Amino acid sequence: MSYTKLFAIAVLGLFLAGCKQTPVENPEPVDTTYGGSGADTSGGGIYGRGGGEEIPDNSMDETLGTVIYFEFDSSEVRMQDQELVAAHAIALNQDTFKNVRLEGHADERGSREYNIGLAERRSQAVRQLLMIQGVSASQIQTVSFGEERPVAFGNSESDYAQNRRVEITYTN
Amino acid sequence: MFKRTLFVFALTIVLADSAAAQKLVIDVQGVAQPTPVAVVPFGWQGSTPAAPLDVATVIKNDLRRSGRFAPTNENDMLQKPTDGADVDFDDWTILGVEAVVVGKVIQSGENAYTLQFQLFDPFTRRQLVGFRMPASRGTMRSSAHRAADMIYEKLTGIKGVFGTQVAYVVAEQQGKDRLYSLIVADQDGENEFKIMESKDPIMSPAWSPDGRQLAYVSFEGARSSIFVQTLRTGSRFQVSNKPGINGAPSFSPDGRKLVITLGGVDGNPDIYVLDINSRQSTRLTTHRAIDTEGSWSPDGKFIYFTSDRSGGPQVYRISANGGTPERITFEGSYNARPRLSPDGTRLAVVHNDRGNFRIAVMNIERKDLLVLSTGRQDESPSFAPNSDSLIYATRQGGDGVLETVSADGLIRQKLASGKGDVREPVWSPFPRF
Amino acid sequence: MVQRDNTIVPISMAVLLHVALFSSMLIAVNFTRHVPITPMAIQATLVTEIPKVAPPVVRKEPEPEPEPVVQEPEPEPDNSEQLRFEAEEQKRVQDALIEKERLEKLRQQKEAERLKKEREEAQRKKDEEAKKEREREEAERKRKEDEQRQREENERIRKELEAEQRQQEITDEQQRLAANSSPAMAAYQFAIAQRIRRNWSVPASAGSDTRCVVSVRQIPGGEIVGVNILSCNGDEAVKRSVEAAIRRSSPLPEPSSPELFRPLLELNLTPEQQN
Repeated sequence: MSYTKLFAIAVLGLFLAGCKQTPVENPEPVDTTYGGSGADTSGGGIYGRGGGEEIPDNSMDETLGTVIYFEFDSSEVRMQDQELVAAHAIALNQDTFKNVRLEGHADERGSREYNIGLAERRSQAVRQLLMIQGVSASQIQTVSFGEERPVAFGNSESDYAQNRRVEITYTN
Repeated sequence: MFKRTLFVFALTIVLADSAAAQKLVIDVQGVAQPTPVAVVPFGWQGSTPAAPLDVATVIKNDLRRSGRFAPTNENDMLQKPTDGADVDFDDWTILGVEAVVVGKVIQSGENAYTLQFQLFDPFTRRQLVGFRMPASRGTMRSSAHRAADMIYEKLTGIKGVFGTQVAYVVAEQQGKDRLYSLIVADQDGENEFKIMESKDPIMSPAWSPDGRQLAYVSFEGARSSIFVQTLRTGSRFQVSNKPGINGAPSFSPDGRKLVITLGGVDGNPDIYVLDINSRQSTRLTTHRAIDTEGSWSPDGKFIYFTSDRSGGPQVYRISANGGTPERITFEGSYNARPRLSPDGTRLAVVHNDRGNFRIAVMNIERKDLLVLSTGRQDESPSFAPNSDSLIYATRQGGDGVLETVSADGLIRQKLASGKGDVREPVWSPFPRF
Repeated sequence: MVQRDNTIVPISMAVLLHVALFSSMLIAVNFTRHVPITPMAIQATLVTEIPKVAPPVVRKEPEPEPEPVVQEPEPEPDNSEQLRFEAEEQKRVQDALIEKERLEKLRQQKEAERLKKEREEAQRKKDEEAKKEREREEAERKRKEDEQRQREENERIRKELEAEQRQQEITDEQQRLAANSSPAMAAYQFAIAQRIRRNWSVPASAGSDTRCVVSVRQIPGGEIVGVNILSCNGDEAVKRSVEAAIRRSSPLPEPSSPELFRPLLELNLTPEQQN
């Protein structure tokens, strides 16, 4: 064998070896998780918003969660939700033309109109928290639905926990 | 010795005689049980094969549903008279029937009829009540209910409510949407009439004292507001649309005002009195607690309401002209949604009984609390206009259903539940003719 | 004497001087000064006083010294009329002002009086109402007292009646026992009570204190031949139910032996007490 051929083979071999070093990798699955927990379905429009009269601008939803949950018999915003509320406060302060509606909900136990009052306390807690962070009162509207708009229809503790919530909806 | 024997003998006779003449005293303790009553199928005289309405069955079902009567089976009847003259009392006493109703419907014109009935006590062989009433096809059902009322009152001493109505809210899942309806029906469930329908929740219906209007809370437009709607025409007007909570409407006895709950922008629910004509509202409570669910006493002097100013919901009352609220309930940690009976003697509440939400009734004078219902999530008690029974919402499986219970708690009836989740029943006043 | 011609000149000069002196005394020169009198509005009476004012001026100046300054206006031809008119006018205005003041004072006075009256009236009303209120409260208090007293009285009477009743019952019981106390008799009574209890549909209007006493007559075999309500504090529905219950129970159960039979029964019917 001539040295030239040997040299050619060696170079070719090097090439091949180089190719082997770059195998085709499996593409990684891209996980698109939207803000909030899986129970975020309650934030969406399944259970209607005023009979379909207004289509809320949910463009914020893709980055910010819109539901806050509460402990039993409590209207205190939990520690783990403070950051979320702060994020909404920032958004509202950045664009003072944006308006938000806070919808309060309660679980079904007890008397209906009294539960309207309990759920309102929750909306007001979120409202106060937003206002402390500089959001103007004129940007905030509160509505209480009491136990009238549940997202979970059973009567287990888990169902009740899902219903004790405030939903944040941007109205423009 | 003979004398003594004679003496003893005489004494014995005397004693024996007096023993024989002695009345025997017996104590009997009776229990409330359904009275056996026979409602004989009514006779019919008219141009059509059958009467426009089976009046006897309407009466029989009314009496049965009250829980106080056990109607006799038609097959067991030994005779079927349609007129008092034909009644053979022995045929009824032998069955142990304590009351016999006979009657007939007679046609006198194209749409003109006469409804006639008689009620007999076969044991004393007396007629207790008998009436003749004119009716048309449209009014015959209501006339049958009136007859049942008269029979009921004669036999129990209590005014009947068979001619009254009930209003309630139904929530149904329709595909992705939830549909809410406000329904008015006869107290026997017939003639259901939808007076309002919405994709948004409807709450807290309340009858006006003349039975012509309903006030209610609607969440149309993604906010709560209060409407008053006239049943006959369907026309309605909005009486309260303030920012925040508008809720819990209840009419004053003179029909001119509503006690309502307003929350305002800061969300502190308080009791207000709203003049319906002028739409002016007067504030009654100023506490930072939740004050809601107001209702009037039948004499118009007081407004009873729920307040959690002592930590948990309890019932308070305040003079209708304003003043200092006075606490009314002290038993248990949760008493809410107060409703006075029309005779003013009793107060119905939603009461937490060892973890279960149940209907309880409190005697205003004696202040004792009697738990009447047995569910876990019972709510919205409403008295019948004769103060003798209550209707309320309970749960069966996952659905909301309606139940009635007598004011002493002894008779409970579940009402036939149709579709969906039925809630917030409220009993109409006596119909005014 | 030589100078007789020298004396004529001096004598004639002396005579001329005397004549001149005498003549000057006959000729008057008017040295009076006219001070201009400007009429002032207030001094309406100046018209009559002018002569009074003038003299002091005259007195001042007999010296024939040159008077400076003074302007002597032409005396106005008869301005007394004008002056009087003006003075009267001023008087009118003055009177009008006084009158106005007076009326104003009067009005204020009246106003003050009216206000005072109003205040007094309001106070009186208030006092009256307070008095009425006190009377109302007093009447209410009295009424409550009366009610309470009546209630207590009723209670006392009721207790007495109860005690009497109980006594009667005890006596009856004793009599019963005295007459017959065998188990067989007790069984007979029990059977009758059960039969009637089963047949009695107590109406809803019966209360916990409802009590009916009924006399029942029966013939051997148990057939009921007479029912007579002796007393019953229930309504028509209760009375009807009681009679129906008894009649429904005919024929009554029979005793285990004939001598226990009693033709005359007295039944006490009461609703069973709940809780």
